[in-house]
Amino acid sequence: MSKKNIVLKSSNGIIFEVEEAVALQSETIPYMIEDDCANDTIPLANVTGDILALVIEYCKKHVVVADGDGGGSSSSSQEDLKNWDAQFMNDLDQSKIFNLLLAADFLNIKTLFDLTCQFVADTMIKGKSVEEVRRTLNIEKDYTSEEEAKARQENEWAFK
Amino acid sequence: MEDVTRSVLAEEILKRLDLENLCSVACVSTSLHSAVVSGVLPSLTSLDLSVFSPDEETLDHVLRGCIGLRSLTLNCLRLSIAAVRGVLGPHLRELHLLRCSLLNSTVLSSIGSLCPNLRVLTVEMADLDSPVVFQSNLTQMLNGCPYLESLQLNIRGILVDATAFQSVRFSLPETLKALRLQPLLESEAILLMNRFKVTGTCLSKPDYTALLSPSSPSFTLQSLSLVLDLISDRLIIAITGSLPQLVNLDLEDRPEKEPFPDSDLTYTGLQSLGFCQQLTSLSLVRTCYNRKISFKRINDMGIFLLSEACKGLESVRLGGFPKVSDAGFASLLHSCRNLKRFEVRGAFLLSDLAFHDVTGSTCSLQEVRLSTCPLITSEAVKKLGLCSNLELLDLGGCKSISDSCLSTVSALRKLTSLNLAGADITDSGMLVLGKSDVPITQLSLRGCKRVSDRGISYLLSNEGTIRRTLSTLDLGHMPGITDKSIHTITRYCKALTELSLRSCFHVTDSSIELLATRERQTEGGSKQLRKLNVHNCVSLTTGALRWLRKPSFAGLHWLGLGQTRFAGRKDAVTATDQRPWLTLCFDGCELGCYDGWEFHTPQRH
Repeated sequence: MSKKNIVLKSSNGIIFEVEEAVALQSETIPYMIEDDCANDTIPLANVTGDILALVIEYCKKHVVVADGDGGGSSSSSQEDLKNWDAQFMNDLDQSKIFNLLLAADFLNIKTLFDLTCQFVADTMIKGKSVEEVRRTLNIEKDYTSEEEAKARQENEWAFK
Repeated sequence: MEDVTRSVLAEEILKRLDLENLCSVACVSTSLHSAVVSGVLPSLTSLDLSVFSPDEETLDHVLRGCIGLRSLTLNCLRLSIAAVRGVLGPHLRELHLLRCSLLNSTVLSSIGSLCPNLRVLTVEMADLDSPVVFQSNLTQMLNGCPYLESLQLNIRGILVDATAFQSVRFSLPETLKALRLQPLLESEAILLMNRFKVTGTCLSKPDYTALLSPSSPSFTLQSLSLVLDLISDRLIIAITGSLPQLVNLDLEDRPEKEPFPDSDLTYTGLQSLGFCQQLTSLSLVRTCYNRKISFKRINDMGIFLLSEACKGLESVRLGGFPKVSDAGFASLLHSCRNLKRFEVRGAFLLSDLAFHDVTGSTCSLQEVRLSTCPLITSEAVKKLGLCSNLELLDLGGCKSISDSCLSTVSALRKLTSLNLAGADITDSGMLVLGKSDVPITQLSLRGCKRVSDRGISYLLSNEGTIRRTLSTLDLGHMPGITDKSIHTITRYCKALTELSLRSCFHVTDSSIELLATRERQTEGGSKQLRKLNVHNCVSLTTGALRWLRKPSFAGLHWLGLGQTRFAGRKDAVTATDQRPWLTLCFDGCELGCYDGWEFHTPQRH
């Protein structure tokens, strides 16, 4: 049986052809298919080629597992998938992670969105001091010194 | 990153953090502050503040933004009735007030009038009222909270008046599924059981009850936990007769004098537990400080009948059964195929033989506690090593445990908590643990007299897993521990948050300095020490007091200073002026005042 393919085009014009099942993990793409003609290329103006490649890699992995034995609910394949997810995230640099997060949000891929949010929370914020969070996330301090002193005083009990 | 933090996505990330991390993040920038304060905190539905005892001001800061809480757990050690009343409200479905050392029973009537929607309530309080006042407040609470499904009331103290719960049976709501009362007279408990029976079969209004619990029209109590003056056959028969649907039964007694032979627990009582076909968790403990009073009428036969009657048990806890020997305990391990937790305290006849047949069939065991069982040796532990699912192993007070079992322990890949207090282990045993991959987070070596600084170095400076995972370490009563060990700890033990050095006589001021200035590196730096116990560290001088001031010990929440030269010093107490959330304990409690807070002399400043 012939599987239907969908053509996606990144913001910088790179074309990806993927199976429908892979693309449909995004809840945004079906609307785009409805809006356009189904045979046309779907333009994704917010996602660059390198990020779209990552998104597709993730979706391919997850669609394969979902197809597998009994919906992939067996504990070992769940475990494998979790390990794969962890490795997948670990291999990315920070800017890729944030762009992936934005792409997952735009394309509305729930599991990828949860994965990236959790990864950011766990690796860039959790257990870090105020200064470390600033440094890791490259955030400018926009407090006045009085405001900061007050915020610190109220929250100091929790500092790591 | 700018895009991410500026958008609502920040909230999506932040809501995956716990309160402590949120409070830190709020200080990073104004945009993250507002994301926390207006985005995340109001959407929190559940908050557990049991890990530290906040002062009123800190509590106020924390809870100000949390307007949507349905579940709240508070450590009330330092909170007044006014502060606690301030957090109550009809939005709460679940409320746990722990270690209420300053609260009397008026807190109960406040709960009754302010929290009508409570489903779950736990209150741990000291014995501060006369029984009449207590009963009146208790009745007001019960009348005000008609939907309670779980009620736990623990009153603690030296000589608690056990008549406090005398009238409780008349006002317990029928919605109740879990009940814990401490203390209760045995005679009252029997009347209470009769009441459950009557309510269940005759008095209940079927249409009303069916609405609340469609599965069964009778009283549906599934979990019962009582601390009594006596556990008798009469009591157990009353319980099993009234509550055949019981899943969890937890009974503890503290008899003041030897029970009469005809009113003590015998095999008849144990056998009747078989009526509760759904029973999966059973705890029977007799506590007596000089161990002279125990379940003397229960021998192996009693436990044998119990294990035949209750094969579905997944959790068993037995304390105060000195006449039960290997045959009895082995029958439990053998019959209960799904046993996950096995705890025995003070079984002087329990030896390695009881574990001889531990094989694949008992591999369901996840937690094993054998405290103060002097005959247990390393051979038993080697057998238990076959249970690869073991997560907790407590051998506290088992004096015959030696190094030879530690290679077995080291092979347990899921073990996170290990108690070797009082064991006859040595430095070379530490080397075995220190080189292994066992992911221990909690370790007690209390009173291990043959473990020295070298042992601690073996444990932590090797490339094992433990130095990355260890978060709680108890080195109390170890004469071999000096400042060298503390140096090793501060250097290698990055995840450590709780440390007890209780009665370590060779620990000096320089240990305090090392801990206070524990280096924070930029990446993967140490966690902050949250709790530190230096109770009875007699070598400390008042010179160490300067390390209690800012900025050292930035994260400390609890400090045990009893029987040191700091005790009673004004400058020790003023150290907390800069850190109002820091609890100082001068009363010899263990880390965090988990036990013994009811005897506190509160430090007011």
